[in-house]
Amino acid sequence: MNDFSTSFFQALGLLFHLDSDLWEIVGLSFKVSLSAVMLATFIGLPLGAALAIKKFPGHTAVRIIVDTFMAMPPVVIGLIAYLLLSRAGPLGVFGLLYTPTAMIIAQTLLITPIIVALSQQVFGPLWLKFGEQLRLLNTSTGRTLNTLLLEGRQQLITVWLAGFGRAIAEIGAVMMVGGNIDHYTRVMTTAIALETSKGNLEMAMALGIILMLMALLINILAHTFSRLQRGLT
Amino acid sequence: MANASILPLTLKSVDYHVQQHHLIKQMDITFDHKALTLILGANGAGKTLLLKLCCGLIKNTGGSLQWAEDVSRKKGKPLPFSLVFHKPVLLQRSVMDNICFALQDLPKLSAISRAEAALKWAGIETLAEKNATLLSTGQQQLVAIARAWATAPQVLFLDEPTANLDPDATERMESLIAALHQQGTKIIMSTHNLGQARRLADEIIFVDRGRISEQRDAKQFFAKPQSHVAQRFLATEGFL
Repeated sequence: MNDFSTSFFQALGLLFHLDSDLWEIVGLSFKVSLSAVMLATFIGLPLGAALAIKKFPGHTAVRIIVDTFMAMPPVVIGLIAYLLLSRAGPLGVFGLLYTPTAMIIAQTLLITPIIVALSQQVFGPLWLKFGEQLRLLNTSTGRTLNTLLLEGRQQLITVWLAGFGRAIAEIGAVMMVGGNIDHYTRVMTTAIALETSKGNLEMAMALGIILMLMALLINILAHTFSRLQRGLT
Repeated sequence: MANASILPLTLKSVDYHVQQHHLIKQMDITFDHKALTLILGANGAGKTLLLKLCCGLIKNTGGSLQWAEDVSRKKGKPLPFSLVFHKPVLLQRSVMDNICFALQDLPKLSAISRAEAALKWAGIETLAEKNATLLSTGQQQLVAIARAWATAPQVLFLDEPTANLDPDATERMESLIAALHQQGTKIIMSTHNLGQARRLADEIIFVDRGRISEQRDAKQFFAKPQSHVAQRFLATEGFL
């Protein structure tokens, strides 16, 4: 217990003294996860909207695939990303394995289905509410999508936060394709695993504290947006 | 706006099924330009479905529905008809922006000036900058009819537009509907409010369980309805 409290205070010391190694890891974690959530949003929102609005051939198949990917363990996503990016894989020529880009790709694969599924749940009721009116106003597809994005902005921010929370807290996939290389692909989750196994508890705890504060902040933001949304409807 | 008239709208043996449910049955109607037409009937009779079929929001599963002129969608152009729903559908933005949204074919300044004219027409200029979704239902319905007016439709469908309104708001809506009719817009409106039908209608179409029971001049209808269901409907409401 004494070791634990000593480590805890040392961890606080690392945080308050702006330890450069620690903040480098935090910075890379944010860079990777923010890039992944941006990409996933770019791919996932239009797909979520299309699934909510349009019935097209293969609609059910796409939904089943999305749901399957959503339930897939991160290590399996990591394995898929590894196979795609390894030398023998279809994207092997780009030499991306064990780079931050590979980690972005893995996290994008992980959270795109989440963004698709959750945004579909946002767009479905919006389309029920506004669809007929927008059709009567002869609104183009692009303008329709833009209008639904604006109308659902509070709920979509919550979707975005859920995707970001999942990405930044993930370890399996980034470990497999990033490799946890010091000063290059080490992010908070992989560093916590490594430092704990090395017995360097103060560094692991400092990173853990940041991750927990992140989770807290994301939940506060999600609740705030959800309350704002309820207040407006 | 000097487009050829899209009327008459002719429905021939129009059917509408959802799975085994036969919701609209063999409807034959011609909507011509002159009359202010009210579609009467009990809840669930098929009034809303009939309006949605006419607007192309749902597709008839049998029969044909023919406008006199092509009303197909053209990119960026408003349709020559509009529908005001019984629960107004407005975007989370100002009243002015809601009306300008419907005027996508106009340059911005023209759209603003047309929207201002629409607000003035409906007597709601003071609401221009208010968030439309935070207004009362009566005010929202006035915004919805002003938005429809702004697009200058040849035909305006209204689906029980006063169903949720108090008597004052109902009176305002009715006077706007009558004014639109005077200006030459064809009005086709559903209601189950017989007092309103008597005040507004030139022509009544009575719908019962997905079928047209009768289509007659309003005065004749209220003096002596021909179908048993219409007689019963009027008697229940104390009109016979």
